[in-house]
Amino acid sequence: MPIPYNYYFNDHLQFYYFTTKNNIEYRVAFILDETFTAVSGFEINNIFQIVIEKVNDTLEKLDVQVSATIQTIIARFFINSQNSMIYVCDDKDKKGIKRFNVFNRWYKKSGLISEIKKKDNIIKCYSGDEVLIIYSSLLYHQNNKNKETIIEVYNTIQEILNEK
Amino acid sequence: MKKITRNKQQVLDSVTKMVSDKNTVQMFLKGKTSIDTLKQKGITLANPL
Repeated sequence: MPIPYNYYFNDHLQFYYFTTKNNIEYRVAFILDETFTAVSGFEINNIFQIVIEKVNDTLEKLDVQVSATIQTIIARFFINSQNSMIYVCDDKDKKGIKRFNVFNRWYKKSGLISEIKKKDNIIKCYSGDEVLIIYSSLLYHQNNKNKETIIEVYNTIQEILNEK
Repeated sequence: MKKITRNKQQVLDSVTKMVSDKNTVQMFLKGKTSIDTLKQKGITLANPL
């Protein structure tokens, strides 16, 4: 694996950040997700939505150290096997599927797949005449004590919203 | 396991908020919105590592 960049946590603003050799800063935040609790009606803790962003929109050549760093962060996240992670791509700019596929490729190459399982749902939200497509992935540790519940809620979300 | 709600509107609202929260946090990470905005929208960032 390529050498990851050193990353740091901004205590005040509550995100992780690292700077690449091309002087591009990436930031990673974890949103405390309450979707599963809201949908299920009972408390489901330790679910976070990950958000990864470059500070600027500067184009960058492929830098394998970036994915290595993200992998390090995610591997550390799952040291607590009760943590679960949601990755969401909406399709408002018609690039949702592209980002979804990039994340899937990263996961397959990550070396985490023996312990960290991924379930994908493509959700079509029918609201009036509008359809919003949401590409989502749920990552959970194989030793998560609540994995059956979490997966059931995740599947239920898809089932309900895919109903016309 | 307890029964999961089948209230479509409630589920739609929850998922819409999840996507909206992501968009807001993306803006925040780019420095285009403040942490106070996140608080106003009920978004909590965590340090789970």
